Amino acid sequence: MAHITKNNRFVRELLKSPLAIFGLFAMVATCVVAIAAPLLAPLDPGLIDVTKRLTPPAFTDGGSFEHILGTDSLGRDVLSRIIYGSRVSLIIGVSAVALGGVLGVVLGLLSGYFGGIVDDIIMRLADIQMAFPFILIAITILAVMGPGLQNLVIVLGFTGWVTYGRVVRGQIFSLREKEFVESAASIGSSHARIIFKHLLPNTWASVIVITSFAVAHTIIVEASLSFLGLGVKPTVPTWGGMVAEGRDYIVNGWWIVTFPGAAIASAVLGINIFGDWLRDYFDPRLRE
Amino acid sequence: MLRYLRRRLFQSIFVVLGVTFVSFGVLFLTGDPAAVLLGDVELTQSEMAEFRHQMGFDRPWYVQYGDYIWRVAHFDFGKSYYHGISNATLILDTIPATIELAIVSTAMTLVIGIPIGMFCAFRRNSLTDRATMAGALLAQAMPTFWLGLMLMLVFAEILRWLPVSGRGGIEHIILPAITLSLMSIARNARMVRSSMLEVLGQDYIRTARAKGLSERIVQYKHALKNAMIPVMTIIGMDIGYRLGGSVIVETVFGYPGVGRMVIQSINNKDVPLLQACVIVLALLFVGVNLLVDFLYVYVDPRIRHS
Repeated sequence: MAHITKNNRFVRELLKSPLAIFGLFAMVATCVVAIAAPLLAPLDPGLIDVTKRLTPPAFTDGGSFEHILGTDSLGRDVLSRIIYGSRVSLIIGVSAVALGGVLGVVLGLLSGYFGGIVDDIIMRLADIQMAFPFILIAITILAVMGPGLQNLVIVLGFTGWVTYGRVVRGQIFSLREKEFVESAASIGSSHARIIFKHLLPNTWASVIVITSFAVAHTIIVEASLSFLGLGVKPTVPTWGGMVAEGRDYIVNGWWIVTFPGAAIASAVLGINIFGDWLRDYFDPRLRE
Repeated sequence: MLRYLRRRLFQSIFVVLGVTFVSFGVLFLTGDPAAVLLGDVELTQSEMAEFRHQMGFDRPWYVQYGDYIWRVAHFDFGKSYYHGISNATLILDTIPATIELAIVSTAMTLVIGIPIGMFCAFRRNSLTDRATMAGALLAQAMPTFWLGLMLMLVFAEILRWLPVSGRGGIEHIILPAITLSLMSIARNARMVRSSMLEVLGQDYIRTARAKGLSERIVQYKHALKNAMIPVMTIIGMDIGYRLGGSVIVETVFGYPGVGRMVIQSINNKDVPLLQACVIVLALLFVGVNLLVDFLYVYVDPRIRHS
């Protein structure tokens, strides 16, 4: 029963904010496009047709409705490639954040619950990592290990734990002193039971908010690495990779660079807007 | 205060050790440092063994690491494979460009971002405020490399107001600096606005107004000073973002700095130069962050007296 009322408040609050609805829409649309890419893409994203190279978008002179957003330097359909490109962005965004999130929540819990030397070690580690020029390290590691989906997820995931760790630790730290934890301990609950049953559920709100911003940030970093040639293998269409391929044609083929970048910006904008709203919804005090 | 600074200094030492360890460790990521360094070059078994011995890879790793730190501490960054000259020379040639870009874009962030944030806070919920904050949200969503190319397309290719790429007069730095700073301008504006709104709601602001002080003095002397404290913390983070971002921006605009050299060295399979660039940029980052920490002490009296 409580669950339903909670959902009602969620929907009611959401309907009050047109901006948040837009954000949610952009977010859901990106996910739907990624999942249903084979159904939505008008053409095979890898189909090369040199006779149609650098065809402009349909709404400009010389364009045709066969290629609504035009073609690239090899005659491949830009729209189809953008649709398929959403897959890599989301797969990497979600899996890297999941890795960093789990790591961060676990370390944050340990740090906040046990305090003392455990807390000192974990938090100093977080400080040190924050002082690291992260993208440089990512570039170096990927340059040597070789790019690829798995390496990207590992590198991006291991750097994403810090925010989770710090926030969860802070919350556990203050929750630990509350009466409900004390009473749970006094009736003989184990550490594991206190952590998972009493403390962890209280951190979900902030974990969800951090996750939305983390996914948006990871999408941008992945696109940047793909742009630099350090993303997944070049045959797979990615938004960052498409912009890189279009760089040399920026004058004769502005659409090749423009549309994939717009796709990144709208996906990230949607997630950020929705994340802002979520933060206010859960707790206005979470504002930075 | 001394405890705070000592902790920061101590932490920086760990960061420096960590950075050197990573840039040293990349050679060992694939298991065979000799193979990483040689790239596509084919050697016979005995030549390979000779190369390993010559490079010292047959020693224990901690000896090699110690040796590496020793050389870095003496500004010996090895020799570039591709260019055939010392990495230190290559970096000394390119680093002024990177520092120049970092300074100009940091200045832009502060000079543009802070006033925008204040303006929006004073005219809260007005049309200007809403439009500016919407613009800031959009600016934070645009990837740097794409923003750079779009600015290049409009201002250099179509309007022909500014050069497409390279380094030279002030006109060469405008587009790269805007590209590098737009995201932090937006972030700073949002930070200053929300921080300012919070401060303006405090009791001491009401007291200051009640005393009959002019609105200008209340806003600038009482409110701004306190609103700047949280903003200061993100300035250090911004600088880190900027050194990383310089890799992207310098590549987009063909701007001859250390950032572009990072990508060139990857494309040329020039691992020694890559290591050298990374370590120099990282040390620069740590140094600047430490400097910001020291400045912080002067801005926030709570730290000074702790």
